[in-house]
Amino acid sequence: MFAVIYLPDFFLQAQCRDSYKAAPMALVETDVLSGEKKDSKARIVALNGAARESHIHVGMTAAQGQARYGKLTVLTRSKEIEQATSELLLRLANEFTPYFELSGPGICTLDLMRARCTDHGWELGWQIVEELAAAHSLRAQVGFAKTPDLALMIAKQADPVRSVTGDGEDEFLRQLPVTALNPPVDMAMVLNLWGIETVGDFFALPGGDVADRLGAEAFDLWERVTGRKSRLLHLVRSPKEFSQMLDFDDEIHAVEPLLFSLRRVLEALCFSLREAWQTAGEIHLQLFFPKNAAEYEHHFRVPDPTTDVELLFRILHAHLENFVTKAPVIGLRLKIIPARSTKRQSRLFESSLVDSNRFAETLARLEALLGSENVGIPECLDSHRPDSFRMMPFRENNVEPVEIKPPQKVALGLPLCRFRPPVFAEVTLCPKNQHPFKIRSAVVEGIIKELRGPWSVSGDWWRGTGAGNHEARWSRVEWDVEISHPKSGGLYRLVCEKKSEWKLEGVYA
Amino acid sequence: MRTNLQKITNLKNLLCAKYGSAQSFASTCEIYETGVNCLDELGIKRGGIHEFVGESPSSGAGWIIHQVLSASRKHLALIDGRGGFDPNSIADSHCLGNLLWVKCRHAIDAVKAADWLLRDGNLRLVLLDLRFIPEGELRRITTSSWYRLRALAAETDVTLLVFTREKAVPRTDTRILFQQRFPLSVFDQKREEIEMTLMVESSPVDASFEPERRMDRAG
Repeated sequence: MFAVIYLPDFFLQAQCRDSYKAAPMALVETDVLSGEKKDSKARIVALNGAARESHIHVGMTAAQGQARYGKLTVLTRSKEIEQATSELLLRLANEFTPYFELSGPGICTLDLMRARCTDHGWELGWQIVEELAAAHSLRAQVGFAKTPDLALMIAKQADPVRSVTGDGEDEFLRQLPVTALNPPVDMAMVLNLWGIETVGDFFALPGGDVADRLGAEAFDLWERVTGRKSRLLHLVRSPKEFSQMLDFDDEIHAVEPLLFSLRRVLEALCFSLREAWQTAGEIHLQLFFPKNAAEYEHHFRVPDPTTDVELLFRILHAHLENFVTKAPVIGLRLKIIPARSTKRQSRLFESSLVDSNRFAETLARLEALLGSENVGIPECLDSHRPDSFRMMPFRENNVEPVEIKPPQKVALGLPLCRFRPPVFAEVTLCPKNQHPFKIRSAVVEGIIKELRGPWSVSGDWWRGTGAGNHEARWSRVEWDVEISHPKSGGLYRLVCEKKSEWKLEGVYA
Repeated sequence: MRTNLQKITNLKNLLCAKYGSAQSFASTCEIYETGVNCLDELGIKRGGIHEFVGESPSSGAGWIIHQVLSASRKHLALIDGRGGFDPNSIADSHCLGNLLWVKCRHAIDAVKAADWLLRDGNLRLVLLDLRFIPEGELRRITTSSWYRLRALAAETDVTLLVFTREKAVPRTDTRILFQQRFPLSVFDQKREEIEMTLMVESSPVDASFEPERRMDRAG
């Protein structure tokens, strides 16, 4: 279903709101070059009903109009006011659907196909009319129909709300004068000659004959009237990014005033986002410093896109809490990249993360405290090199828990807990078999009660011996040892990487 | 969206009120199921703080951490006091995807991280590994910090498991003692078949411990 909001006598209404009907009024174009507001030669561009009844027509000069009716009120057209009224109309339309078009001056078409609209739009229509009248003193007419063109025709006839659906359409069209279609002059003349006075008569004509005799333009009109063809709306689209820049009069040296300004900007941007039916997916922050210092830039990802100012501000706050700069801040720019809000199936009794945004904020604080390389999901690398893994960020893509599968390998014994970095150890070898016999280190000291090994392991030897590859190649001998000591005794991994250079790599815990 | 969530919450409440069995899924369940037999038989209270004390370096505390991680079907956090966790030691690297690993260097950072994660409340289980923190540093964690963590855990319904070499948490819901020191022959056993001996303190309210109750559990 489509709805059309129609403001009759838009140009006059925009100027003098609901008092436009009171007395005969005419609107004249401003002669910008002459600089005179009410030039006597200025042409009338719009009239109200009372002026038309006084036989004043569009195209007359103001003087001619006043000659017909002495008390004619002549107003000067202001495009700024018209623009503001159009924006107001669009903002109102935006409250009901993101799909709408500015079809003409004072005409706004709303696509309600994807909006909840019960009782054929009556309630919605009255809501629009009342809001425009109460808040902005504008008189509106609203029409509902299955096509945009039909809705416009209905809106023009509405008093002030009218909805025509099903069988009512034929009835409505039958009574509607054919001039309501605004046919081209030559076509209107032909239709007049044929005795076609109402849209119903025009609709009753065979479509093929209309095309043959009146041409493609007439056929197009016939199809749109009959509802066989519906034009696409030229949707009013929101901007792709929302950004605001702020230059400070005084340099900012502390984080509190910076946060205060950021919040103000964020509030404005979130308001614009909400109006555009968007949510914040990413935030780009730029801070500007005096000439010599390079600008600071940081991108924040919002895991669960939102327009909640408090939440977005906390993300910025968590980052800037520990932010240190050598120079004072002289300006900032905040850009929000919009994203569609996340659609997630809510589970009945459990969910992975209750509040993704709050969790992102906690992660940001942890990363600020410990460094991003120390917070995340460990991922083992496809290598036999000891301790080869990388830290992956904990992001919104992996908030769903991983399903547990059967283990890929059989693990034996206790897991290793690594010493990072490995601890140097003095090892005494048994003269008989050259096996480690006694150990002395910062972690543990004692006789090796039992051991298993040696296991010689190596890798990346295929990389050659060229520059840069020397460090990539690795080779070591490993031992698992049981050290007897009353307190620190236990199972350890002992490693010899170079001759006589022993290290304790970890403890089996 | 908000309306839908409200509807689902209402539906949950309705089902929980009407069908008693639904309670087991609801957050009102008092026991946190870790998926590790020896722990589940002890009954780890949800929203509580539980201390695991293993004086010997090879007492099996690391084994508990790995088993909990391997069995977890939800996200959990491991706050690693000295950054010693070895991802390559885990048999099933898939389950690493459920782990948020927080590597720290100092006890104070680890406690701070625990505070934030408990306050956050998104992850239902947090493991705080302080086994390799030097004794002096561990002692510097104030009693009030532990009380705060305990209050936060209760408030946000997050279960906190603390692993230490010595008793360090002044008031815990459960204190479990590892009294084994595994020999080298433990490497002849599959990890999941290792028998773990846990001793549970019945009322670990203060420093004066009541007679210990010995419980032998198979892993």
